Amino acid sequence: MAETTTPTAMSASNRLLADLTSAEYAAGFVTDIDSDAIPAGLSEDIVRIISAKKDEPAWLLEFRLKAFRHWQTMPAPQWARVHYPAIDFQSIVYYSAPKRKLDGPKSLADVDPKLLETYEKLGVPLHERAALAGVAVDAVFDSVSVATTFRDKLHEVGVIFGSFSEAVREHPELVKKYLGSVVPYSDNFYAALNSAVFSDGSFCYIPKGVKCPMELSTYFRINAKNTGQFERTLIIADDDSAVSYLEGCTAPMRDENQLHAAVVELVAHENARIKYSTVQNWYPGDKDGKGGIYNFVTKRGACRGNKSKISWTQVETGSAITWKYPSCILQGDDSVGEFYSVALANNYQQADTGTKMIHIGKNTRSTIVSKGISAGHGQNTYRGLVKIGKNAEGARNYSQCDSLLLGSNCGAHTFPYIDVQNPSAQMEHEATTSKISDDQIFYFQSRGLSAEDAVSMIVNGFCKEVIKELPMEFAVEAQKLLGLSLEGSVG
Amino acid sequence: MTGPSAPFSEIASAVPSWGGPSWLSDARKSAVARFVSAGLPTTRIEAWRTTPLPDLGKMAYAPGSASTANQAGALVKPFMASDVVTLVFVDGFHSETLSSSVATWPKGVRLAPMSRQLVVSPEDLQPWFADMGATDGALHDLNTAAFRDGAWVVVDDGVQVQMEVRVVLVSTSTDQPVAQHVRSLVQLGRGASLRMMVAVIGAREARGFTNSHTTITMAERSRLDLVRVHESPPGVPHFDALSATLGAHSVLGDTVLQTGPSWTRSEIDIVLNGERATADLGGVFIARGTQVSDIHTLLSHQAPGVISRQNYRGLAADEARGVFHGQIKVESEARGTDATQNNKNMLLSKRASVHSTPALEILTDDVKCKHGSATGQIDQAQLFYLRSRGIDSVDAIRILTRAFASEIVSRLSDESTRRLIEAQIAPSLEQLGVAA
Repeated sequence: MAETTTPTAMSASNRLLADLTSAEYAAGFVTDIDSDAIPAGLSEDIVRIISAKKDEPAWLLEFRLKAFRHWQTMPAPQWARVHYPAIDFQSIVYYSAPKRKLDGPKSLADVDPKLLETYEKLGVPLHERAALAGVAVDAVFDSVSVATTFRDKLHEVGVIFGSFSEAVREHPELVKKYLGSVVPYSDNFYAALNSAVFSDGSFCYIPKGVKCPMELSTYFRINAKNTGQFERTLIIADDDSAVSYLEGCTAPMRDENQLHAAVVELVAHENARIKYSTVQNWYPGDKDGKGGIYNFVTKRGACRGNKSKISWTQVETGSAITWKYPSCILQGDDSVGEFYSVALANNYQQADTGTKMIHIGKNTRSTIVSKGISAGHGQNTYRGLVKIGKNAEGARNYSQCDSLLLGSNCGAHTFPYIDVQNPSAQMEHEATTSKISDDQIFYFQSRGLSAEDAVSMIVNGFCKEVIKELPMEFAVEAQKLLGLSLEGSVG
Repeated sequence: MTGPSAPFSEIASAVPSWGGPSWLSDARKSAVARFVSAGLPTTRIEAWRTTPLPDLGKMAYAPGSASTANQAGALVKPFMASDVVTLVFVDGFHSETLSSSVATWPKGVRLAPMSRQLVVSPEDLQPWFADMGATDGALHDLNTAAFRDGAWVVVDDGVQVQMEVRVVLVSTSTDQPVAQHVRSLVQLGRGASLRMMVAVIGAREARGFTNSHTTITMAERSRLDLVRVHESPPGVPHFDALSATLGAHSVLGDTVLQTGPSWTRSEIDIVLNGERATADLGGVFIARGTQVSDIHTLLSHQAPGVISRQNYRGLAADEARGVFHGQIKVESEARGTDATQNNKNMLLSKRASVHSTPALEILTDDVKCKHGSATGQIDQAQLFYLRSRGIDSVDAIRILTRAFASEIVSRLSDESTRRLIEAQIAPSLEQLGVAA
């Protein structure tokens, strides 16, 4: 409360607020590279052009057209607590690819050095030195996948990892079987749009009994102007397999808003484990809310087999608008779903994010830990559904949603939906909302720490439960990002 | 006019014949227009997603007629006492014979049925209808269009009313199903205090629909203790809306006991717009059979230092469906808000279900907000404890469900009121068709 605040603490925290909100977006450069783009706009012809450019089989074109026709009948969703001017879908370029040599890059050596430089700048280890990091990377630049590392090594153990287009060419039976099986093209407005125009993405198949020997990673970058990015990720973990997958994203700083509408589908068969981690750092717009990415993403995993497990971890620091609900459908008995999230909304960012845990099988368990941080004029919303079906005997859910408010102009909102249809289920939901109190800052300061350090320690402590779920390299990046995005925003 | 609103179509033509001041006729006409264009709420509307309205379409509704049904007398009897003032409404109309006589009314309280007030001094009522918007929903519009009666209670500045005021709405068994739309207005002056009970009851065979709306305004430092019993018979679905505006330092206590057996939905809409106002709310639904029991709360915190407490519990047996939707809104000017919300539900059968949505919307950083929600079955360890002491499982479950509900009942500080409520909800607790 104001009357207990000492003048020094006030000014320190005000200064901190100013610093924090003025933090720069480090990944905001543009790479000057020739790209092969199609005219802006969306029609059946555009869908056909995209399909033709990618030399797709007829069944995939059919899938796209069905999705497109369905999309035309759908209204844009209005229910999320985010506000933005209506998107003109005709002004977006739906396909943009870095221009290739005639046959496209066969290996990293063939990749445009400028592109590699871009990833170098972003700290994505595409090159051989990546061996040290031990992470296999598939990089998606604007609309297409540009490079995949460590393919041979993965091939030895039977893991298929690469771009979606390759998978369509080389493993059409797998793609055909699983595409749209978790997120049908008719699922929602943006999933339908993605199904119609998706350009590329990552595909991953882990065969029976294989524990993927390294972390798999995709790096997404929007570079070209006025383009939308619509990628699709499909991960299948067959019986008794395990995989850990990381996803990172950045975009240049631009004054206009750009659209990103991705679909991610995960399928875990019996006793399989998928861990999916995201550090989302799309350009959030400037401090007056100008520009930034609209991030409308559908992510869903199906625990098809008994004892399977899907775990989502996300650190969402970027995007002007985030609209994203990574979900688990717990079909198999004893299957487990997890959702760990840190969402940060600074300046004029708006985030409406959360999860759905659909318990269908017996003894299914789910855990939700969501941490929302709002600063500046940021609006952060947790929206989640826990549904325990009639046959989900012994299902168990624990949800925890905490919000931290930094400054008096931001907002934190929580909308948990809890539907229980089985008496043997146990579910608990807890939420708290608070700010960093002056007492806490004072405690740190009296021990000789600066107000800045105090805030950063408190924020880190607040997010710790989520950050510790991330693979180590990502945890470091996430912590750095949180620090950067928040620098100076404590009141 | 299309399908769903058809049962109420006669209202549009009836409005002109009811007379009354022109501003009211105008308000009614625009409400009819809004209702006709929107129709009855369907599950496609987010707020009604989990609570489908029962099929009202197949019933022939008529606006209630002033009948003096003798059967109401026996039903109202438990609510009569020498130290309370009772206003009784039968099938939507004030019953003079069943209500307390004017001579017993306490001083400083102006009490009248709306039907009389509309004739005697309608200008007193006009401010209540001044800011009627389209945002309150179709059933609110329907109520505005069709209400004929209700309680009008005004407590003057500084008056501490010692006697409890009881408003009883009774549905009787009639040849034709009756839709009763009741509107009550309660106003507390500065520093005034009042205890009030609203009971919605009816004869077992009654058929119809109850649509009851109560609007409360509380001036500075006033205090209202409200108890509401929703016990509409199975053939009479009951929609109830309570909206209250709380002035500075005022205190509203509300306890709602939703015991069925009809389809029941309570909407509680509280605006805390005076500094340091307090809303202390609690309630329990006891749902059985194929009942739907729904409690929707919206607490809007709009002034510095306001406090709200919510404690709602639910019991669902058989194929019943319970719904709790609680929304806390803290506006940016409500610095220092302290809001907590707690929802606990117990499922007593395999086919029962509960939907719980505790939502928070917070627009300032200087707040303390917490909510918790838990749903489960009877604690097996507690059950075992009782059974190991020789109590059979039916009785043990009865003890545990009663204990679960009693946390809400124990909110009532007045002993005679609490006894009455305990007696009133006991049969519902007994009848929880418990399958161990």
